[in-house]
Formats: sequence, C-alpha cells, structure tokens
Amino acid sequence: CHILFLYPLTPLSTVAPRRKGQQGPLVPITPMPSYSDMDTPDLKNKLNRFGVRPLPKRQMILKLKEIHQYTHQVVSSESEDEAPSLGRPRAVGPPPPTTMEPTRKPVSCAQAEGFKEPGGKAAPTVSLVKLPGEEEDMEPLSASQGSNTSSTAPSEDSERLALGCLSDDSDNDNITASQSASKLQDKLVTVRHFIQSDPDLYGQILHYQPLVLSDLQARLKAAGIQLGAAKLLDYLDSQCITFTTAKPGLRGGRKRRGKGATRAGGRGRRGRGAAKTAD
Amino acid sequence: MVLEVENLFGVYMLYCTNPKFKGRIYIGFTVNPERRIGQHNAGRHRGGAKRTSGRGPWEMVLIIHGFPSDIAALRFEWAWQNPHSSRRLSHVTRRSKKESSLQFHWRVVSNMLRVMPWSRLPLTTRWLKQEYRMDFEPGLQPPLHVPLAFGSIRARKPKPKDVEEEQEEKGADICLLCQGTVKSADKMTCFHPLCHMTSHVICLAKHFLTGEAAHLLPVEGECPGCRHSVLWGSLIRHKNGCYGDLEKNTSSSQVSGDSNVGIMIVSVLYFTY
Repeated sequence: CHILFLYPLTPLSTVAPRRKGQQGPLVPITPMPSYSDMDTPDLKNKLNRFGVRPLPKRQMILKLKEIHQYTHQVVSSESEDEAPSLGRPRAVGPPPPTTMEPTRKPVSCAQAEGFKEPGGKAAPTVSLVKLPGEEEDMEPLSASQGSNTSSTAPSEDSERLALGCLSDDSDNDNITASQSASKLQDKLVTVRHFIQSDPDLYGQILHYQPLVLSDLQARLKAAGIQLGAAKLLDYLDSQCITFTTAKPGLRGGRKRRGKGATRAGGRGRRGRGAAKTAD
Repeated sequence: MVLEVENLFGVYMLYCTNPKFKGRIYIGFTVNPERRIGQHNAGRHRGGAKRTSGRGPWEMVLIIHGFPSDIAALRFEWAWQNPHSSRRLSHVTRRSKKESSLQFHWRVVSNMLRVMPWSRLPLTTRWLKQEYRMDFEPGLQPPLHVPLAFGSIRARKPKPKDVEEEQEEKGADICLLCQGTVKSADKMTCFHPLCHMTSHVICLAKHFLTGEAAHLLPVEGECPGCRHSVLWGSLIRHKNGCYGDLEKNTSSSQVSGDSNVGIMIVSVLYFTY
C-alpha cells in the first residue's frame, strides 16, 4: 500500500546540505544515490527521514527516487508545472474494506486519474483534499472512521498544494466539469432532435421496438453527432429505449449474453439474444 | 377467471414450498407462465431450469408483465437476478439477516420499477398467489401508471386480422391532431368503445408528451377523441392486435385481474358515466 507523501512547498532541511549551488542554472545537481542497490534497512532509514513509513522494498526504492527527483530539480519556469505532476502516486491505497457508497466515487476517481490530469475535471479537487486525510488516518483507524476525518492537519498542506497546482493548470485549455456537462447536455438535445426528425426511427422507438445499436451509432455519426457508446447507452436508458447489439437476422441466438457495458462501472454479462444495456 | 393476454413477456418469481429448501426464490423469464411452471416442477428433462430441477415443488407467486419486447423483459430479469451487478441498482443494499429471500426480492423489484429504464414501461405487478402477497413499502411505491394486480394470467395467441378490418383501412384516415392523411402503418386508434379517434403515431406521442419535452417515449395521456386517460403502452398493444390487459385507469394502483377484458372495459365505462 502506498502512503501519500505530502510534499511541502519548501524543501526539507535534511536535503539542503546536499544541494550545491542551487541558484545557478547550469550547476550540476547531486546524482541520485543507488537506491536500487541499497539494503532494506537503509531504505527504511532514508524514508524515515522524510516521515514515510516502511514500505515493501520495491516501493521504498520508487518512493526515494521520486523524492530525489522532486527535490533535485532544475529551477525554471517549465519545471514548476512539472514538479507537482510528478509527485502524486497513482495508486493511493486500497479503498476501505467496508462499503461506503458516498466516498467510493471520489476515491476511485483519483485512482483512475492520479494527478496527471489535475485540471481535467473538478472532481479530483474533492478527492485530493479528502484522500490525504483518508490515507493518514485510515491506517490506524477503522475504515469507516477514516473517511469522515478528512480535514485533519496534514491534509491542509496537501490542500494548499493541490489547489496551487490546480490553479497552475487552469490556464491550460482543460475544460471544467460544468462545461463538459453542459456540452453533454447539448449533445443529448441534438440526439433527441435527430431522433424526432427521423419518422422511421422515432416510430420504431414509439412502438417499443428495440433499436439496433450499431445502426443507431452509424446514423448519429453520419449526422455529425459525436457521442461515445457509454454515454449513448446511458442516454438510451434514461429514455427507456431498448436496444440490441445483435445483427438483424442473427437475433434469437441461443448464446446467453450481456447485460452490462464493459466501461468503468459496468460489470457482468448475461441474457438471451445478445441484448446489451448500459448497466 | 384468468386474464388472457397476447404478446405476453413476463418476468416471474418462484417460491419453493419444500420446507427443506426454506423459501428459496427463483427468477425467470417466460412468454407462457402456465407452461413454464409446469416445466419447472417437472424437472430439467422436461424443460425446467437446472437450478430448480428436483428442488421443488415450486409456486409461481409473482409476475411482472407488460414488457413490450423480449429484450426488455430479459434485461429486467438479469437485473433482478443480479441487483448488485446492475449499474442502475447500486443503491439497493444487500439482503439483511432478518430479511427473507422473498422479502429481499420484493424489495429489489420495488426499486427496479422506480428507476430507468423500467419506470416508463407499461408494466403490471401481478401477485399470482394471494397468500404470498406483499405491499409496496411506503418509500418504494411504483410509478403511478404501474398497477398492482391479483389473479392468474394466461398467454393467448393474437387473433389474425379480420377481412373487414383490412377493408376499413383502405379508406383515407385523417389525423385528428394535424389533419393529415394517415397510413395504416402509422395509424393509432383508441380502444375505448365509441371512440373514433385516429391519428399519426408521432402526432399522438407529441400530444402525450406536452409537459415532458425532454422525453421521447410517452407514458400516458388523454385521448384527444374521448378524453379518457390511457397508457401509451396500451395503445400500442391495441395497435398490435392485443386486446387483453389494456390498462386504462392510470390513477388507480390496484386493479383486479380476475376478469376478462370485456368485463374490465364495461366496468370502466360504469365508473366514468
């Protein structure tokens, strides 16, 4: 399990003496010690200096390398953006063993995206703030307690860090969650109008006849509407429109097949006649 | 009396009456409930499911019918069997210790009727055996258009179209809503006796959807001819030649199913006049 290392905004004093001529742009930086060849007790000691608990050896090595990269940077305008994005490990630890529906989403969101796309959506802001609290408090406490104590002292640092990094990236052309949601809404309205303008298609829906999914996707594409399959399935579900993935003519096959999209969140597959839905 | 229904697609729940198997439940799909229960109780070699074979005797206690296609019903069946894998039912908690299998499955199906994509389908919840009947929890009431029915149901073959009906269609029909001519493939008529409403499928759908602009599929509406409240699903069934189980009353949630269609239509008339 990884522990989230909270990178303070100023370097630690233990590292400072090792730095030589930090101010000049072309001064050589201390080479990285050969962490890969060090013994486990040595790795533990080194990590302990940064306040990181002992980890499995492989992870200790990775963590130390990470720390070294972070703390030995060339100070330039570009690397200020790079630095934060290096830091956060992708796997921030296992989700709590007990099922906690409200918190599960933020955790998995962060796990999926890590820190590599900080400006992508607004959701990671929430998860990043929450996670450090979870990580720090979860180890000793039970899982259900961990999720509630998200606003502890260590998390404030990470919050500052997280928000600082996010504001760096807000200059990029990443869109916010609300913008992408409204774009999606517009697309769905376009899809609805498209369906209503096609009497054959709309008639089929009104007769509750299942639509052939590939057919519908082709028609939407031909009309210039770009909608991913998962979002399309969600939309069809919200409109109570049944669809089939079977090729017309081959329907009624005996093979038991799916009722679940393979996208994130979709699971098992079963059902007759190749009926598939975004469950 | 048994309600006879054409184009029946149903998802049913079996209950095991053998004390050794302690109230086990089985969920399945059928187009012919009477034949199906016979198959289950006769065992695997006579068409029954492997899981139920030799674990009987089974009673078919509940059936959800009114699905417009086999695919819609099969989806429902799968979700009912696997609520924890279904993305639409993530809010349904697992069976608690004090909950019997029957109670749990009833809770799951109560939830299912309230969520998309099933909440707009013209379904009926039918308890086939009164002694097992349970009511919906206060917080899990089904949509208003989904009635709770009691009594047996039987699948019936749709009647072939009469010659007379075909002759009628050759005349030019005018849509009551847009005044355009209506082809027989697009023709919607109301099944209330004495109502001569004719319209395009799409015109009528748009009429029913006033107030629900974001939706494509109507649930119910007022017939522009006789002003009765009718379910869209019933109109489509009528169009497809199914005369059994035409749900008319949308406000009532309990309908007795122990009667054939003729009696149902007459009793509705008496209510309104």
